[in-house]
Amino acid sequence: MSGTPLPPGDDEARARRAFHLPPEAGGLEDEVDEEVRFHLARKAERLMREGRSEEEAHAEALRRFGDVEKVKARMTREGKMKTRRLAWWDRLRQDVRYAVRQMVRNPAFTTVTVLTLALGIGATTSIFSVVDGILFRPLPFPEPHQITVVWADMSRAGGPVDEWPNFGDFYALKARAHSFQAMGAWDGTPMTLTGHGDPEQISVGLVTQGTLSKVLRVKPALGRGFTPQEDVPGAPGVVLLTNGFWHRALGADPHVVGQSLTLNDEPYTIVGVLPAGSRPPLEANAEVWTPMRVSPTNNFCGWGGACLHVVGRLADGVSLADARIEATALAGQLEKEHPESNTNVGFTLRSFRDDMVKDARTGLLALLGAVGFVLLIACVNVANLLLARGSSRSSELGVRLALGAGGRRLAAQLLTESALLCLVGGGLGLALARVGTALLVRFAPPGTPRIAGVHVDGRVLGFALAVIVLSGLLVGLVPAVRGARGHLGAALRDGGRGNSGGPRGMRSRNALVSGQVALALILLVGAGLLVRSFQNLRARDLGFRPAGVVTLKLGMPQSSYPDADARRAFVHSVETRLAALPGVEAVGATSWLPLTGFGSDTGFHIEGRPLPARGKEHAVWFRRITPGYPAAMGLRLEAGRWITSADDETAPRVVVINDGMARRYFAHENPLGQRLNLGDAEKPVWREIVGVVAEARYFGIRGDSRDALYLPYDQAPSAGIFFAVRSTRGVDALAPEIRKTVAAVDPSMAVAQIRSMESIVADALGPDRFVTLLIGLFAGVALALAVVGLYGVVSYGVSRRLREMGVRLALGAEGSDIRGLVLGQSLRLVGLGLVLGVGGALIVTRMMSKLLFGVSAADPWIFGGVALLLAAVALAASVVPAARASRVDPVRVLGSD
Amino acid sequence: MGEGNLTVLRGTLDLLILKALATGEKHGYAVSEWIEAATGGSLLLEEGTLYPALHRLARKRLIGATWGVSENNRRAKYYALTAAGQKRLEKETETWRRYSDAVEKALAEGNAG
Repeated sequence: MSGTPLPPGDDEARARRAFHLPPEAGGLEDEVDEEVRFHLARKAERLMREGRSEEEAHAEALRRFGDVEKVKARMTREGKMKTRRLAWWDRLRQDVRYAVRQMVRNPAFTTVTVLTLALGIGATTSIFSVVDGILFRPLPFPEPHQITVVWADMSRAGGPVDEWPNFGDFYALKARAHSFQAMGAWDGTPMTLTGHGDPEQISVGLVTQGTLSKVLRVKPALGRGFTPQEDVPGAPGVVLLTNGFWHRALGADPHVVGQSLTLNDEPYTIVGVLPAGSRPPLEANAEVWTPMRVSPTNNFCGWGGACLHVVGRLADGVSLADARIEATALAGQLEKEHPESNTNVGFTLRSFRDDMVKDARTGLLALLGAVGFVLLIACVNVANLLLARGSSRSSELGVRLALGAGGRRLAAQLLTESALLCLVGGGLGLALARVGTALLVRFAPPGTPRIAGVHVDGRVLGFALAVIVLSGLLVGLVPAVRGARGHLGAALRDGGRGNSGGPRGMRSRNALVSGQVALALILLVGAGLLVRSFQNLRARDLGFRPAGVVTLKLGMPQSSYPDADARRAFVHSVETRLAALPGVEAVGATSWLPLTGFGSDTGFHIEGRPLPARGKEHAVWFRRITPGYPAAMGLRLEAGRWITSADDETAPRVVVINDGMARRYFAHENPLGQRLNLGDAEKPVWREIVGVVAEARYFGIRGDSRDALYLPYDQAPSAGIFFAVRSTRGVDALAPEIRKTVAAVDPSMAVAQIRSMESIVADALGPDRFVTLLIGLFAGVALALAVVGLYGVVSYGVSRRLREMGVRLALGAEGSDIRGLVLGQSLRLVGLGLVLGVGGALIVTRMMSKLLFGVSAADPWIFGGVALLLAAVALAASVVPAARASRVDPVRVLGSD
Repeated sequence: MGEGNLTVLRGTLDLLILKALATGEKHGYAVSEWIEAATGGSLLLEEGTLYPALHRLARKRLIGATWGVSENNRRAKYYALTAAGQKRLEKETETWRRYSDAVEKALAEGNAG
């Protein structure tokens, strides 16, 4: 130190700066004083120069200045106002700078917390973007909430609540329901497009006039919509193209309106092109739309049928509930007017969006819930890390409290630190979310509604921002409140060793760990139940053997194949040629393949039994098959014989029923030899039951068995036909040869959908696989995070109590006693978490029972297994710190002070 | 307090300070001298009122303040016009001119009538 003393206060000012404390309040008054003194001195000097005495000059200077004290007070007030305003910004800048320095100083800590948060926020945002795009976002049509789907409610007649209505229902509703301003019907059918390159099967949407223009309010981008004259029986064909088809097949030709398309050998005039991005979500794959050309008296599906989709637009100001009341009343009228078809038939009205996504809803909400849990666990982990670090920094915080930093100020600083961590983590999370969303869209199960429109946009960003702010609060609040409480005494008593968390700090951390274990248990139980369900689904007997089967779909246009003979000849010819391909073991044809979504059903009557009352007819699904089909598909015969080539159009009519039907209708007698009539009771055509087949899963792998029967194709040839080819070669090797084979029989025949049966089965399991995989992934992440959190807290607790352990050892405790102590403590935490978790899981898993298959939502094995797994993992996470505690050297820890 | 001296109107003091600083950086005392000289001593300024006004203008960031060393080697607080202060000065000058013209016109009208 030199002889000149530093001006007083400089040391303190430096210390204040170093510790980010506000400059002393006294400084402002000194400055004001100095400024006023300077003025008075200069004034007096001037007055003296003008000839006043020194005394007079000072008095005059003061007089001219006015009330010195009042002026000083006003100056100080202005100064303080300025400081206060500046202080807020300064403090924020200071806090941010300080927080950044803390982050840089602890790269490991920063990396772990930022990555944890980025993972949580990224995963949550990705899932939200998908859930929002599918479930929440309004449909891209004007006033989308008005668009309503109408189903026939057959639940009182023992059928589904959402059966297809028929034209009888449709025209009655359209004419009488005042709740709707417009109503339309639609259906879809494949047609063969010729004249544009290779013949091609495309999906065609059929609509009644007004469905697109009045119900959906879609305006064509080019040309016009359909006119009422175009929607009557016998009208010439017209089509509206979807934008995608216009680009794909016609090169976006702007002069396309007025040109002609050939569909199923009939010319259709192109009247317009739909705008891009508004593909009517009615018939999801439809590429062109055409009027149904039907009337109330001339249509393909009258009273009692089930064949149409009906969609309406509610009148302005009418709610869905109002419309339901009216529809119920109308259903009552129709029951009276058409008792033969409408007894016990009601109407189910649903918002179009909800109807579209109803199958996806439970799975998506489960995913959103699961990812929310992961985010919570991630936040708890980071909060725990911050708490632990807050404790190890308690001496620093103590010094700052001693220097006059308020508790609130410290809390603000700690909050700034956590907010900054969340911002950085959130930014990284958003980047992850973009990737995650793209991956989810790419790997979403086929047929997921609205998936193409899913993307990260303003809504998703808003959600992500809210998540970031919320997690910032979650993560920062507990440490900030603890910091603000200020444990000055403890920190200083501790001599700055920085291991004084205080009992309260430990309690917060313990509570957080128990909560984490509980959340992880809920997720793991959910994932366990889903995995079990998925195994059950995969293990379910399909009733056919998909391995090695390649399928294809053909449609025979009416013009080229006008009668049964032409169809039979074509099918036989294709079958024979396919069977001759190398490696092919069996070939068959059928009207419907398993798991492809649709089927045909019919009423029936068993010979010798009373005719069922009207409205109570038995229904059964039916498929036409060629003799080769059972072998190709691997169906299992249980009794009797299969259809053979002898069962041709000239032979007696025969039928093979499935075991479900046999049990239901022939429980106490032999079905073989009994006869069924499938058609008109007045002119019965009796078909003898010659065999019973094990049920094959046609309508999804879940669900109850459904009665079905098989007819010889030759005795009832259909226009649409699937072939099944069992071979030792894969679909890729076989597909080109199959195309060549079909072209050799009919060069104008379009081949659609050459697919392996295994991929059809995989698609049927797609939604389950998707949800199970993701929730399993989330559960794994949750488990890892919970273990890290537990390990952190236990090992931190041990390091805090090293001296205590030292004393215990010095007083004669064995290492095993210490180990037991530590393990016992962590098991208590885990135990509490497990109890809470089981309680929570019982509630949560009940909500996901729709996703489960063959396993109870409260399956004791899975609950027990998960609890055991968590306990074991927790024990493992505690073993290392416990061993460390037991190896403490009493001399070292006690002598280190 | 001499005869014929005018008390500075509230609000015009800010304008005068800004004008004083427009001619260059000054400490408070120099501002008071500038005002005295520029008005030919006809405005009576209670010099103490200058300082709260300076601090208020500084708070509004119309002027900036730094500690420096005065011409006779004493520590003094110096004030200088900021860009915002320059703009305010121009606007206030314009307003003042229109205001005093209007009042002048009205008073002249009264004399004639």
